[in-house]
Amino acid sequence: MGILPQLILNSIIAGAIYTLVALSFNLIYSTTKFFNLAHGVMAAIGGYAVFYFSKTLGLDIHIAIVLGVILTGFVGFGVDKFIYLQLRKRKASNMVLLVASLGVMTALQAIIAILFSSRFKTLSGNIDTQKIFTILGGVITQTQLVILLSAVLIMAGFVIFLYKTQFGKTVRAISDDEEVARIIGINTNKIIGYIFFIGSAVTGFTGILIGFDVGIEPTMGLSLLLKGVIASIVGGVGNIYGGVLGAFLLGFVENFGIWKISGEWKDAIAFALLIVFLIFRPRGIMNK
Amino acid sequence: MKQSTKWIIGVIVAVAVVAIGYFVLKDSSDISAKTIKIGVIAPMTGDLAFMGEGIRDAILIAKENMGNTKNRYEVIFEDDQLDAKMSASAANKLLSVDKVDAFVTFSSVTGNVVAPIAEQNKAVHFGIASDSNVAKGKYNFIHWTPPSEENKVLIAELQRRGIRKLGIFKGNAPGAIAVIDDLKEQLKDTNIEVVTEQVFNSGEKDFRTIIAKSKDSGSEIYLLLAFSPELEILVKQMRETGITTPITSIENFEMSEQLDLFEGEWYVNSADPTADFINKFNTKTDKSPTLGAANAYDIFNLIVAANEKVEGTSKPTSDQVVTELMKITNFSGALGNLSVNEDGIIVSKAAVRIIKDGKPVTVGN
Amino acid sequence: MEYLIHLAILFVIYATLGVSLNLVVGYTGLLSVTHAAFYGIGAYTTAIFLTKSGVGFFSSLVSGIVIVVVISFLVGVVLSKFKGDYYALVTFGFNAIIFAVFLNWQNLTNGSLGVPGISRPELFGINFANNFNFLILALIFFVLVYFASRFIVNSSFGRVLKAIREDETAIAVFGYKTLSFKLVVFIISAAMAAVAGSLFASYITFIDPSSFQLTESMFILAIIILGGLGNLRGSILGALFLILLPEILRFVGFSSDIDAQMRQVVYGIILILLMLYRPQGLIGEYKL
Repeated sequence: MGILPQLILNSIIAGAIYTLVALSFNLIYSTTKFFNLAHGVMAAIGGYAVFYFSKTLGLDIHIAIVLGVILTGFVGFGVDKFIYLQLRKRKASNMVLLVASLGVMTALQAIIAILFSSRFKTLSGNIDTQKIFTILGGVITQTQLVILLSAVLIMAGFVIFLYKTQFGKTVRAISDDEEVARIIGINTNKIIGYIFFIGSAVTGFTGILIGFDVGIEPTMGLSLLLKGVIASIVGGVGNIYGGVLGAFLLGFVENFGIWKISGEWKDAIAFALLIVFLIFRPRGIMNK
Repeated sequence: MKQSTKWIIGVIVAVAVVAIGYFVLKDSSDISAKTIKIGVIAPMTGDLAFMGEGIRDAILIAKENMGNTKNRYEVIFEDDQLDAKMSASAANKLLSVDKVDAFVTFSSVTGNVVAPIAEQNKAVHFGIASDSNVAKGKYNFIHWTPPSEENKVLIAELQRRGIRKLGIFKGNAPGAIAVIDDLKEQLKDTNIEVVTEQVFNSGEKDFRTIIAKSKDSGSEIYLLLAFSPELEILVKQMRETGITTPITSIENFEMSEQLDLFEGEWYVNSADPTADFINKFNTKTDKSPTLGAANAYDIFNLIVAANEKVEGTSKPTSDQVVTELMKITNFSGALGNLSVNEDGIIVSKAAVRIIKDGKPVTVGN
Repeated sequence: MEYLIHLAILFVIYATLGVSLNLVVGYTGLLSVTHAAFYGIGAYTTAIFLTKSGVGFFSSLVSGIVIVVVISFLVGVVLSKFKGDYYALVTFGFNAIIFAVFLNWQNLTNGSLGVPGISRPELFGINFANNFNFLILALIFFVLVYFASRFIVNSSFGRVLKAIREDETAIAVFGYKTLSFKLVVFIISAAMAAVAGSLFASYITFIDPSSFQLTESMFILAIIILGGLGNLRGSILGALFLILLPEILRFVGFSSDIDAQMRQVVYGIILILLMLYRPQGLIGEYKL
């Protein structure tokens, strides 16, 4: 079989991680319409929260994960309430919000580094004893299976939440036109606050999963976010299925790209994919 | 814009200019003319701050253990965050404000930026860097076991073990590139073959695809040239993929905080830091020496030794110090017996070591 | 004294970068995050020409400008399709790709080892190895760039740019080909960055890819946002602040890891406060 099964598995795992980021980024972007650069930091916050709860406080790992996810949600909610909401009230443009989110990202990253030092840490033990599965000659670890499963479940959750619930309907109304939504009596700022909570919590969870699979560092968010953004745009911004499709396409292009050319071109390949899509299909695969 | 805002801005700028001007033009005659000042430029902030701190600690240890000298010595540390323009700023600040007589720099980037400045201003400069460009010019020196030296030891050990097929994983960084370029040159005369060479950028966390690419290469050993955390993640992902092939490295294993990942593996390292140095470093910092710490310790002692040897009662000039430095042979340092060659490179030896029970041990030469 | 001259040279180079970027961001309203790419191409052209061939500094400078004009033309054509945050993202991606080229095209750029031994210019018997002479040279280029920029923004061409910034559709209705205006100003701005790059390479005499990363583009952007968008003097002020700030901190004393991170926290908070209370920067005339 050669290298192919492993390559496909690697692409799927990478795609699953990008899916999680793309889904949450898409959710926030489609309601607020600005590039929230601070979104990636939420992954680091989730990861470090679990590190603190489980390794420093010695809590049970499952409780630590739940607490970590909730805490990340609240951080996202707080950032929106105290900064982005204030800017929206001042009728700030998307660009102003983007620059402000750059400030939020810089400050939060540095705060994490002060609290935990900037050195790389892992949530699993030093020497891994986790189960490894072999599929058609390719290997996948238990953590990676969990990542894959989470991506599927969270995607399903998003579909149900956005298309089957009353809350989802209001969210979609805001995405379509915030002005109109407000006129028909939706408290848009409150809903956007909830959206920030959910989006950040999902990213925090992603960070935790990455922490178990690879490890955490304060600056882990930006590259993760960029991959999520590329996936969203390639797939179609504001479209759940598009985001997932884009994420897996990116995973496959990256991993198959460095099959034949050297590994140091990986990031360039990702951005080249983005630019190719922007030129030829700027609204993504699933244009809305 | 309001008039008041303009005033505030004007005042802030004026204060800033005056503040820097004050420090620059401040008369430093209060220090006796026979004080030798050494400026050290290393990353003191940012992700690699721990390396800069190791270098600072090593130099401070050397200074504390200096004994009686006829000259006084003073060390000033500056941060450059490994950024070229910051390195140049730090070097200029040290020259103008502190009026240093010698520089110590860490990394190839910093060394390459400071070397021409040192040469122009006739200040002795020691780089802790693998790039031999840093030693160009009369006043520039390098203290770093040269890649060629380390590769000789590596090749000898590979041959001793009968290994014919070598796989390489290298981070895209100056040190690793210098080592691999030289290694390939040296391998031409041997029967050892590089069967796969994988490159990745610093910051990469997912090595699974390049591992898969190298899996069927038939490598009998993998040479890993990467810093923490890429090194640990790479090894972990290799093991997860089921690769049990031995791994080796040059320098990198010992800097990891997870030595147990490399249990039982041999590697090449610049000659042991002496037990004496390791003890002193442990006592002061509670840590093992970081990358380049032993080099920094030696450099300080070499600069002191050369300055002390200059005869006469006036302050030694850089030319005199360089002359003395070039004469040094068999200097007993933290990295063994050191000599300075004609290119201004301190020749130190490399040794084969092994991680045994979570600790590095030398296995003879 | 050398130190002050050195800082003055850095300041002049970054003021050149700031003034030129302001033409695109401040006057035309396009958030470009790729200035370091053109700065880098200028620097690498000079470095490679001076070390690998017998060409003099001024020929290498002109070659750098020509190469940047060609590349920025191509990039500008791609960018002409985008606005707002998509524009920012594409420029972001372009910077990442150019950085990958600097890092990985080893035969040409020497990869991460960098290019050492770049010589200083010599002209009319004046040797610019002397830092003071070099400062005068850099200053002459800066004055040229500044007055060229001032001429542009005060000309009828500049008035169209400002009109594009305020309302592109409206100005297009009057028959102005807004795309060509945006393209031309983008190319001019990039060419000016190439001049700064040439000066930087021959001043430091050593360059490596790390000087031209995305963070450098953000640093230049921070200069003009802090100083003020749509105001050329604002960019000079911004460059003065951001070049001097870390140097002043040398004398205040740091040395621990935490102080540097504290600085990042302060940077982040300043950005947020600036966006909340003064989105046009210190003396700016345009809000993002």
